[in-house]
Amino acid sequence: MRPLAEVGAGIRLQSALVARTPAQLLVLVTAPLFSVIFLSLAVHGGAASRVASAMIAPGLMSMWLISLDVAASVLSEDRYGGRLELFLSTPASLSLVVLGRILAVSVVGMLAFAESWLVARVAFGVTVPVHHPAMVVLALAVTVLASSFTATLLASAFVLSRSLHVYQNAMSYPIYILGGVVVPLSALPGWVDPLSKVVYLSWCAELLRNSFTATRVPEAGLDVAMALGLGVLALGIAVLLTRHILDMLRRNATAGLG
Amino acid sequence: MSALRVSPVEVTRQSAIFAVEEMRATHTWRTYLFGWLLRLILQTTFFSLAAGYFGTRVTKQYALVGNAIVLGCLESMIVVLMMAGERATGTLPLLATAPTSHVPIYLGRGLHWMASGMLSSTVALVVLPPLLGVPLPWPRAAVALPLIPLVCVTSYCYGCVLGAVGLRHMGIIWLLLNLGYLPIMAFCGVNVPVSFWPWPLRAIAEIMPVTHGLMAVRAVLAGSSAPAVLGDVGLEAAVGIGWLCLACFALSRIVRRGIAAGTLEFGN
Repeated sequence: MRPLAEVGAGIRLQSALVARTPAQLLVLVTAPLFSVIFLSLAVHGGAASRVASAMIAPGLMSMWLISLDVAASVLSEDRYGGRLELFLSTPASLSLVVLGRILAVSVVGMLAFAESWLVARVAFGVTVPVHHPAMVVLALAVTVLASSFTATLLASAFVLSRSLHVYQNAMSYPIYILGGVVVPLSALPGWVDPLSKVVYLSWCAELLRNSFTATRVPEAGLDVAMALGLGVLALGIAVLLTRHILDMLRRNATAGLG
Repeated sequence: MSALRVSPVEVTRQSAIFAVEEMRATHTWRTYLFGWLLRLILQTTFFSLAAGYFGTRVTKQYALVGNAIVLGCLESMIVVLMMAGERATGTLPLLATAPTSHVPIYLGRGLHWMASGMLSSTVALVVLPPLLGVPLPWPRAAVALPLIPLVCVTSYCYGCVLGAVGLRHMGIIWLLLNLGYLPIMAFCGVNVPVSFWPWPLRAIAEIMPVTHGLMAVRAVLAGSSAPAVLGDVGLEAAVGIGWLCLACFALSRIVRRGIAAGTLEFGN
């Protein structure tokens, strides 16, 4: 139960922080505008059958943006604010607390999908039918979990970086392309495929797209397994990396030198 | 006092030196090329691929040109963050008592990003079309390249107005930046023609940066007559002048009100 308690502590902490600084949820303001852009492209291009892709893309982009944003700030700010030393003196797993903090924001970030659906309905008069509601819920849950697991790894990787905002910035659009958030991998050049297979977002995007559009969802089990598998792998690496970094900070007595 | 007055040329020179040094402190050439510039190029690629997926080769090229040009707008608008950063350092009360106006100092705070925007747009417009299979009509397309600085300057003036708002509300500068450029990407002819939108949005697009400059670029690429291109160029310049006047007014007002209320040192 202790791991769950640690994740829960992270969720409570981040929820309190977000309530005071809602700027962390900036993506909920920008997502509708991205929806407008993609939906206008779909409607103007006469691609009625592809409107679902235009609708889910801002949600997927928001999940990744939130992951990057929180990952870049959570540990770095703790270090800068002198809180990392306090963590070092507790028996709790820092990775799990960080995971809880990221989960708290990611779950709220899911509202971007609802916003996008509303933009399609209200602004463009397009209703995207949900062919497999249960599958959509499963796909959203998998996306949130995989995003949060991956962001936990990024948070560890970013903590010692002096140019974390450079990396944070550089990791947005490449992942949107490789993750097939708008354009499915089948419509991209073949050499992109092997790279995309190791990006969790590509499996989430495929699962979500099929949940909205396909009469039956092909290979849903594989999509779920790969998205979660890649996420769990990232979390495992995050735990090991964080342990290594904390040991290093202890040895060098540099925890407070943010 | 006249002996103390600093010439606008000197202010501009110091601003340029400051801009270069700040860029050097922000990026090495590696992080700039492989982090920042590559990210922007991929942004244009992403939206072009999306346009091609939803439409045709023609819509793909349309979005590619629009998203290449809008990079300059995006980067120029980083002045919003730069102005807020300047105020956060506490220089505004000092500038209010200095022998020169604070307005040109603040207006010059994001010049390096505007220059970077010109470079990014140019690189995207030259490099991406052949790579994405929608080549531009060279050598005619070369005439469109000098229009990029115009779009960047106009966007910069618009960004300065938002930056002035950000000086009073420092907590929402990221919101201002995002809500400043995303509507331009959505409604100003970047991805779909302005005529796609209902008239209220079309009317707003008329006074936004990028709209007319991008029309001029597209007119050049389509081989339109010089008067048609120059008409759009004139409108883009007029829009920029309008935003610049507004920026100067807003920046002056902040100091006047700050002195009157005794809140010049505070961002909020």
